[in-house]
Amino acid sequence: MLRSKQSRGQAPGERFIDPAVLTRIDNLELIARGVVDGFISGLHRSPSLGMSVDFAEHRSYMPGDDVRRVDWRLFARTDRLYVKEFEADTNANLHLLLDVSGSMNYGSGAVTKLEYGKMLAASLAYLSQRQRDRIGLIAFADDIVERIPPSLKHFNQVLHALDRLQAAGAGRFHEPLAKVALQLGRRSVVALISDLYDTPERLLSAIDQLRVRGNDLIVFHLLDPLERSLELGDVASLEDLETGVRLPVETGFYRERYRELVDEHRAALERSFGANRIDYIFADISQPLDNLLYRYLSDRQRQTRTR
Amino acid sequence: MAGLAWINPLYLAGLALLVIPLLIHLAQKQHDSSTRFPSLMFLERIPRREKRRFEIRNWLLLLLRCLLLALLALAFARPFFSGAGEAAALDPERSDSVVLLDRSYSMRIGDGWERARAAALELVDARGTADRVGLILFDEETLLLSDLTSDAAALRALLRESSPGYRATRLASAIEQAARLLEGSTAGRKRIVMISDFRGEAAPRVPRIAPDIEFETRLIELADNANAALTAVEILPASNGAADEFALAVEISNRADDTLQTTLALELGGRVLSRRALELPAGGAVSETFDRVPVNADLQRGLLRLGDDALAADNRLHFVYSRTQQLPVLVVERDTPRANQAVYLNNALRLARAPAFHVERRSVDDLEPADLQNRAAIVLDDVALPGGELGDALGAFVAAGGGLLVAVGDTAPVYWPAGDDGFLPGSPDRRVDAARGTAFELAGFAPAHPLAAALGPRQVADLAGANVFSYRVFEANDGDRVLARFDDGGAALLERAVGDGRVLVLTTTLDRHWNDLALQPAFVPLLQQALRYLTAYQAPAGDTRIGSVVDVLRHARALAGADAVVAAADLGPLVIESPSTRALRLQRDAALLTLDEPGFYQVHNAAPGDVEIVVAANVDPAESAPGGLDLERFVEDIRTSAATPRADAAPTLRQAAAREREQRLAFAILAALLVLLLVEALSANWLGMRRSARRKEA
Repeated sequence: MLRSKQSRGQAPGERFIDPAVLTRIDNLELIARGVVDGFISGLHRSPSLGMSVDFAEHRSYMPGDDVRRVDWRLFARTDRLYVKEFEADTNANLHLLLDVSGSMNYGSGAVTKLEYGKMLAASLAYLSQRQRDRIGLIAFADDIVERIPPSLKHFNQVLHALDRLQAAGAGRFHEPLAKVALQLGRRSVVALISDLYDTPERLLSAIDQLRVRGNDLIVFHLLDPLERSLELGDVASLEDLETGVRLPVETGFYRERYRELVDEHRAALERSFGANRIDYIFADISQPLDNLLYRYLSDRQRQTRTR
Repeated sequence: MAGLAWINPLYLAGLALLVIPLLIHLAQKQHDSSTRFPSLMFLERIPRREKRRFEIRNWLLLLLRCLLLALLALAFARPFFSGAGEAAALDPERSDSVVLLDRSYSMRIGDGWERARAAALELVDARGTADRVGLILFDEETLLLSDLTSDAAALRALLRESSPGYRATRLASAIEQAARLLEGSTAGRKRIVMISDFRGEAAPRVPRIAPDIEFETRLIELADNANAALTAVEILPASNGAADEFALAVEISNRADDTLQTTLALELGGRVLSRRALELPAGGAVSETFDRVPVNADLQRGLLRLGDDALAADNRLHFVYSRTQQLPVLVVERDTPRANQAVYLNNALRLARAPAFHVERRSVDDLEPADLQNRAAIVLDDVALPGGELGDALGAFVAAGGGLLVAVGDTAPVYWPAGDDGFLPGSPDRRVDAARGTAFELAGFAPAHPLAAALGPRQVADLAGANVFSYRVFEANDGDRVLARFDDGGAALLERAVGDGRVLVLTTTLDRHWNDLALQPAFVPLLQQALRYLTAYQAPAGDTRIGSVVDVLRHARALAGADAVVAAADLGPLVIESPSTRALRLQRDAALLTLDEPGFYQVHNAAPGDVEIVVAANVDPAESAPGGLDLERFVEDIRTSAATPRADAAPTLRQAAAREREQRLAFAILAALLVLLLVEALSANWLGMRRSARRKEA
């Protein structure tokens, strides 16, 4: 059912699924499996989100160590107490932060940004669940509207919550993300999925609340092709999806300057997030989702090796 | 050169509607709904430009719609190509007049014609430079002398050359002809001016003219000077019944208000036969009879002439007397007739007019085949039908077109050639007598038979009142027709057609021996009509007044003395010599002669020879009578009629075709309008779909 089609600019043998095809599947888990299972075999090594369960070494027991970590078999052979050391001793938390403000309800093609964001979130959740990470979801607009705490067992709840979400209302970042920062108990991987309609400074300020608490941040910036180009044809006025404000425009006159501003915005975000070690991924929602994931995870793997 | 004109130019104001699509296209911009967009964050940072509030989009559609409305206005204005030389629209400065000039013979009274012509010339001279005048002469006919023209010199020349004729006046057709002449005029003022003495028609038909045509009259007052007129003449058998004599009854009218002394002369063959002095009472009429006028020729030309007075045309009355206008009838009687047997028959035939019967009697014993020649009809009055050579001659006579009337009585028929080989109807049988004190009655007369039609229902009913005491039974054979029956079913009158002739058999007597038919008022008409029917008599052209059309051959047959002309079908066309010795040639199969002038028209074969037929032509005497026409009322009726809308004003085919041609531009506009409507609908639909798609996309 999930037939993929060849996209322009991809390597031979790599198949990605058009978002328009994915929207026809009314099952986020199935979508996530199709996306993830499809491309994961193309990777030479399993992707990692920064944790591992591989055994590292034994060390002598020190007072205060948890007795549950004592290697009793080795004690039996050597009559000395050793504890096992692992590269990562516990599963990571993946917090999916999905923007559900009114602006996400826009799409000039087959999918809106919200639908694309839902599919992206589901795919990330599925990927993490395969790695036995805890998965949590927080949806926000001008406040938090949905929260599922991270758990190994919450994959299905996350999918169900994603399925229910509707985009509406004005969007804010600082206040909801401040609340999220307070609710994150331990260091987590936080994936923010949004169209980022705010100034780079305020966005960085909001996201920085999470970063300073040691969370690993990934920002997915979703935009529709028309949002970038303003190729709207002959329209009289535009209505803001979040505020309802109308603005009479002559698109021909505004178009060039608009594109410059959007490009400047993207560049500023990339620059400021990069400077703060925040992963910034720009996503054109007309492009295949699996292509995006493949590209992102490849980059992330490369970055992990270099870190 | 044809110009463009408008039937309803006011509709051109509809071009102002062009502003409507313009406003719609301008307003359409304002009503466009907005397009939803994720965020105006970046757009708000761009400095605003003053947006044009009104902007026209879809120029093509706007032009299409403007063109549609313009064509609609043009189509309603009904453009048409006006005729040659006509202005594109009404020319209020110009005046078109049609002058109707009466040329009937009454205009010859005194200086009537000169004054009428002077009035016409005055109208021509009084016209403006651009005004046009048309000229029509009229009497019973209308003669278009000149179409509408501004060439006064030509009109004057035409008037100078015109002269009055000999016909009577017919006003209505002349006025209608003038109205037709003005139909295509675009002048601001259109009028008809009728110049006439308005004599001849007391109650003319009211013609219908267009409401925008003015109707004026110029009455030519004619002095009622001394004027007598010969108004009627009747040719009668002479009082002594002589075959070579006839009588003339003449009516003379005095048109003047004073007693008139004049003379009446009768001329035959150019010689004055009689002249009488007359005193005619004022406004009255007298009748004069010329009896025992001798007949000198088969076709005798006569002229009645009054003394000179104000109008000469009605003082001469031409007539032609044909000896054969008396149909020769042979009555065959018994050797010893009953007392008064022939009285009723002879009286009935003697009283006949148009035609009169020239009756000869023969005893059946003295009858010879030669006696049958030159007879139009033969009556066998209760005689034994002769057989042998005489019987054959009788059969031949009937077959050649002769008429035979057989009355049956006591004499029992011995020789009776009936059936397929015979020429007599029915087969005779026994005699039937009514019971004592009773009688048979005529119960049924074939209503569709020409004889019954000629008699009329009243006289047929009179015949039913006759008492018939005896009759002879006749059994009808194949080909026989029973025209009348008695109330017991027995045949009363039988008919058989043989060759060109006919035979009638009355199964009872013509005198009072077996019936009292002879005492009935319908008896005389019955006998006269029966003989006319048997001889296939056709009256000569009764109206030989000027203006009438005479069928020459029919006229010849009626006179019956012109067998040479009628029979000589291979002699080529007929030659007609008019009173003014103008020679005309007419084909025999269409020998219709129009009488134009008073006098004798002579008709003969193309080959030189004697005159065969003479037709006398006279003026219509009613024309010279002082008019009883109420002129003011007549003019008022015409104006009222013109102002009344015509429900039945269906154009003629020619007019309809002309209008159709003239308005082809309007039809072309309508066709273009339909095509544009289709294009506009498709374009608007396509643009609407494209706009919807864009909005959806946005």
